[in-house]
Amino acid sequence: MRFRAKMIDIGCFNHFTRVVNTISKLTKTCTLRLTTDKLYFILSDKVANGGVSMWCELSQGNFFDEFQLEGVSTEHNEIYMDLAAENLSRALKTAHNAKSLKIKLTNKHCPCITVAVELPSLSRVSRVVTHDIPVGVIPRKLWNDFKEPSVPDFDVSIYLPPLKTMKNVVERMKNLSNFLVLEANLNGEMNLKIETDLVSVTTHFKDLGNPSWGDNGSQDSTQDRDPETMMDVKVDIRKLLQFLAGQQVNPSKVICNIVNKRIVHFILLHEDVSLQYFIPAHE
Amino acid sequence: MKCVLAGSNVKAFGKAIHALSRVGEDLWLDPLEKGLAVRSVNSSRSAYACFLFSPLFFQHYSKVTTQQPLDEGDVEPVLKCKLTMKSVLPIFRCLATIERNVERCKIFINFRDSHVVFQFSCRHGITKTHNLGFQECESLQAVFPRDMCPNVLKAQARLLGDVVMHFPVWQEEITLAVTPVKVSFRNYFEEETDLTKVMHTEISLNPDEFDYFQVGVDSEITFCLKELRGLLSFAESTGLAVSIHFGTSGKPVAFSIDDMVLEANFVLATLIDTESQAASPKRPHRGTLLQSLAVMTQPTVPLAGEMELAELARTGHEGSIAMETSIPELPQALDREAELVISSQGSAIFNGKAARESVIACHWSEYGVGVHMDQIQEEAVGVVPATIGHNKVRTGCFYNHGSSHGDTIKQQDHPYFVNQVQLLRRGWTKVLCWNGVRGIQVSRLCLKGFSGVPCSSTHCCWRSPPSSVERMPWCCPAWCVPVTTRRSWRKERRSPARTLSLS
Repeated sequence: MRFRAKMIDIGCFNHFTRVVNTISKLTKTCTLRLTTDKLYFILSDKVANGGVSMWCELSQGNFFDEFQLEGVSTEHNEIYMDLAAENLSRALKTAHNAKSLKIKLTNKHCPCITVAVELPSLSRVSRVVTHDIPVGVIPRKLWNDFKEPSVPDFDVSIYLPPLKTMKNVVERMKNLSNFLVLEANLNGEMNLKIETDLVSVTTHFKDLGNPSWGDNGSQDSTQDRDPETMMDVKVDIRKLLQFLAGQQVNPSKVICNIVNKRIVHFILLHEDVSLQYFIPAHE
Repeated sequence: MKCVLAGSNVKAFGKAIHALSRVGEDLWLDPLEKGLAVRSVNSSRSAYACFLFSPLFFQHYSKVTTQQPLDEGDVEPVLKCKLTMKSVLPIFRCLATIERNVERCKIFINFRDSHVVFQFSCRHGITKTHNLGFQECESLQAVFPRDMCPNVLKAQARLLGDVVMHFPVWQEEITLAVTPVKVSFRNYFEEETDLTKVMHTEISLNPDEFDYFQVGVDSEITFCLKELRGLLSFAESTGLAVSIHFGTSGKPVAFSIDDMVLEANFVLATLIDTESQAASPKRPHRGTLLQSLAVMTQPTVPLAGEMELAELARTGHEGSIAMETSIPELPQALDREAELVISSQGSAIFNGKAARESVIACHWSEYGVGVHMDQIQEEAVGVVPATIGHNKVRTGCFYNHGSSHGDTIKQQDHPYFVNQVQLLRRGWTKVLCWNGVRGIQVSRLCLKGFSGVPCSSTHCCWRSPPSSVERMPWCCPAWCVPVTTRRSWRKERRSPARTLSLS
């Protein structure tokens, strides 16, 4: 197994850093999957994560100048590894004015992702900062746990309001209740509701717009439904807030798919990065 | 002790307190002739920090509080006192507010009431007075002959700040590894840490990045970063360079800042490298400053029993004191009978006469110029110890005594304090002086001039230094050399500079 990649563009550093920061805010450890043309940050929906799962996909060509990968075998030319995203985030933190960034898979005291940052210096020789991030290589037989989640059979699909606004609202609500009901309809309306013994608070958003999914199967089933009908899902407010607060990439649009009472699925699309986040309904 | 601080110096003093607070929980105040020393040491005695503010830092400074004659037989005690950091730090907590509001700060020791008083005169006529109770104590000093360290690095605070930025705030210890071609810093973990869970960071630098780089012996030292961060942030905010003196692992490392008006020294113990231990493999432990320094202290210095640091009462003797130079080839010109007075700054103890001899001997051997020793001493005007004053160890005192250089030298009796003496190649010396009022002046002296022998060379003394020189920062012992006034230096500069070839 071999992996070497090099990044030299400052814009790419910053973008990559922002993506990694977002990931590190969403989860402590995640799985990094490397293929010849993409990188994936995956969080699978195990019980330990509270059912939350994440899938983030980046095209390596948009970030790296050089990218060489030799996977576990020729037919499976991929590498899966467990990684603490926070370590990667910390390693990249000081690279904002770097001359170059090299990432490779090494085997020091244990398998590591080594991030070598070349920084400008006062002398003709650059400073080199090396970070060795320990990783756990995941064997081939467990790869099935990390399959790409399919878009669920959703009942409503809607664009979210500006994330910042939504985050502020949810932050205030967090102090009042542990669970939040997120509901939306096909008319571009969304409500965020909390209810306790003493108080109930609802924030209404409208004119949000609904994405059209083309000839997606689920779209047909919703044709007959009254566009005013609200589909809702009750989620743990902290998980929702974690998703909203961690966003550093400014996505052009965020799509929210709701399966009534089951799961909410967020899709962020930004140029070359796509991030999907699933929050199951609270039982 | 009574002193008055004005304007931005109050903020600098506050910053120093902040830096000291990262080290220990008590603050020692020690009013000395040469200034106010503010010190701290950590509970395990593995870190010592000291800031010495010279009287020029203050608007007014006096070692004693009362000027009245005392009763017969009474000596006003030179009071050293110890305050808790908890009581002092809140006074200087918010530096931005201090900068905005405080015009003057008066600090004095009221030993009748056992209080140290910090009195802030703020804007709008407001006066804030803080009375802090203190404990009397013995002097706290670390004995650390800095000049015996084989490895010396000097870097701008910005460089060191950039280095430590890569380590997380919770990183306890880092390792500094030096070879003649590389300097690297990496994080250090205790043996018990699971190495498969932690991220290792290493940053390597080229020796060119340092203002001064001397590696006598390859070494790797591990010391506590947390305690050092205070000094680094002080240095960054004041824009001063930091010097690092160290040896092999186990020996302490000293980080210092030197400026005209203040000096700071942080001496940290380093971990003893167990791999180099012979028989029983021990857990790496941090050598206490005492252990590490035991090798270095002079035999005549009594180490007070249980005390971890040699705590010696100052004797204030001005007589000749022993010094060791860091040039290995020289014979040790130590004056063993002398009373050893340890500098609280941890710099080497000092013998003016021996130093002069040995330094000059060094020049001669290196540059092959022979001048008879007697001749030197005849020509050089004797140094009057009493005039050395508070700059005794670090600086010396120049008098000009008539020069054959032919230029007008005014103020014959006006002393110039030497800040730094730099030995350049081919027998040239650059002397940076400061006359207490007007800022740095530069004299370049040839060997003869340096030794006080009248010199007729037209190159001597007046050339502004060329851009690239080989530098050796030196503590300048006291002796006399002719020195130019600022005016003459400026006059010379106007004429086309003849560059000196130093190849």
